[in-house]
Amino acid sequence: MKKLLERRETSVFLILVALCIGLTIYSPTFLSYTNIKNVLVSNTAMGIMAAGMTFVLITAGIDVSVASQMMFSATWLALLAETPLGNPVTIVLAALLIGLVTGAVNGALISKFDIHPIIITLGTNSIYRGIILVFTNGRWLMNLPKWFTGFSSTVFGIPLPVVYALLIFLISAYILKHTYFGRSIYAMGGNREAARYAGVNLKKTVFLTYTYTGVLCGAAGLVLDSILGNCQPSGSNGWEMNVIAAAVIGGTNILGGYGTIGGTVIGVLMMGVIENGLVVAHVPTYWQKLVYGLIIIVTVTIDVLRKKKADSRKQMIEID
Amino acid sequence: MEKIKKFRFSLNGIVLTAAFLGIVLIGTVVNENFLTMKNILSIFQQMSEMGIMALGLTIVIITGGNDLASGTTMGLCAVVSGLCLTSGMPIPLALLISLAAAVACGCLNASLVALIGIPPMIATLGTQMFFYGAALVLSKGNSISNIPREFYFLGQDKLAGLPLQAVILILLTIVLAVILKKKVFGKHLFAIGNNIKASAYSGIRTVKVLFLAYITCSVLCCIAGNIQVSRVATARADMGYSFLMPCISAVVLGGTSIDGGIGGVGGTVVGVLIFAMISNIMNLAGISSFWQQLATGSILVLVVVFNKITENSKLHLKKMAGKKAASE
Repeated sequence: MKKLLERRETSVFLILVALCIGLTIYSPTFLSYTNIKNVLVSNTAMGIMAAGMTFVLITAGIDVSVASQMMFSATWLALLAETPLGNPVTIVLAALLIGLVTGAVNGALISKFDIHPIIITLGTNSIYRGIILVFTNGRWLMNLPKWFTGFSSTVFGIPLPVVYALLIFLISAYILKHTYFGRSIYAMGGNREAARYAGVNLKKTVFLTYTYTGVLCGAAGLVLDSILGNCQPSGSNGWEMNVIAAAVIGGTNILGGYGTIGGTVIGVLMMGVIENGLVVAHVPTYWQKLVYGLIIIVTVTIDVLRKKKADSRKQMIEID
Repeated sequence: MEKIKKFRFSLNGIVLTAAFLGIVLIGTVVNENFLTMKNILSIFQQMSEMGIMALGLTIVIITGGNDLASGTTMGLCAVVSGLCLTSGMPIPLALLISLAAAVACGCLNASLVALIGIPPMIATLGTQMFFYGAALVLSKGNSISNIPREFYFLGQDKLAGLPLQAVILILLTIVLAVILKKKVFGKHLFAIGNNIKASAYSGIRTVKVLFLAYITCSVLCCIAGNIQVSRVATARADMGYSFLMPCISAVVLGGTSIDGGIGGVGGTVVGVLIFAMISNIMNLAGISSFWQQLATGSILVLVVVFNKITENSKLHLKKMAGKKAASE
């Protein structure tokens, strides 16, 4: 019990609950079915990417190309849907395959050449985005077919995108907790050298981590397309920052070694509720970035200071 | 050891020169207007803002850090000076306030990095959003026009036939090159980039040096921002937002190691020049700006991978030499 209270996720969760109560008192419409559904659905794509980002951050890496990967997938899917090949089965397969390719390219470059992931993903960020912009000439792809938007219909009052997101969270949490791959991710983020000596194949783990993130981004592209009913290749610019912010707010240690999917989900909800809250409270949208930036700075600062305090309690012996 | 070091330096120089000459050749073949004086001056004008920002980034990257907030620092300073100018303040005062904003930005970055110990990429990722938000809030999300005509000198006047901002870029490059090569502060920057712990133990005041590095970077971003405000006669929060990627690419292309400890401003300027020429050639040939995004991304990845491969082969050579010496 004490452990649960000490965890970052708990405090963030309590803040989230307090925020929701405050918003409900301020404006009862906040707790209406439509508004809640709105908050949940509009954050599913982000949440799916954030699950992947959690994997990457735990390995002490970073992936700033997630938004581009998502739009890369979304654009090709929208184009595919217009061709005779377009049907629900091929679209799902294509989404996962496209994500697999973009993620694998990231993973291969990072693991093969051992270059800081932010440099590689900054580069591929421009490349993926550049490819779709060149191919579509920046044109919006409108009027996706009915069967496509059907992916995000509401069944028995439950919006399907939320169901997909939940499914992905469960799978991701299972992988992190109960598979060799998941445990290697934690080991590697905690102490790279120790993990290597313990027999973890670092290159393979890095490669798989970025590939998995890519697959999730591909899936996020599908979900995004189906929710919006159109695709704007130049859209969702800068989402990668929000995705990182969500994971960090949810307690994932940016220096690697710690993080949970549950925490990330809370982080995504927190961002979503703040965004929605600003609208409900009639605060101009341009305050949003300022608030997000402040939240990242404060949470990361607390994280690092905590880690320092914990380290100072330990007796450190350094052997070089 | 000495020989291997020299080998690498010259290799990087050769690659840069070859790329530079190759692009000049392509430009000349593609369009007859490329090598005219007018076009060359316009390339200089285009590259100045990005070049000045890239100089600042070089300083920070040499210390083993990075400033992902540099683009939004530029936007914030642009908005601040735009607001001051439109409120009727005298130009020097407006510039001073904008400069103060830059110093504040640099101090915030440096405190997060040097005092608290957050990895630079993450700290500046947070401040990137924060500065952008601050600029949006200050400008209420609008672009600020009605910049007084007297301010146009910075981005539109010429000095001795050269655009004024190109002169500023050249002067700043020379000053920074001298500081990096000849001054103690420069040596400290490289030392910190190579090994921050060893630097601290050998008596370098690392916190102070890092503060100066991040403040220098922010101030240079501020200069770039003001030049752009003067050139386009408006100030917007998203000015400079798109500069970050090409700037980092240019720094890396110019031979500065992203891990810190190696590099210089000369290479950076050549890197920026290469990017400016590519976008100029594409504009002359009427190719959409989307291709430029693809090109900058590809060049960044290719250059980093190429540098890594040469570095690895250098290590390999070193190992071979060691083995040979041991067997003898």
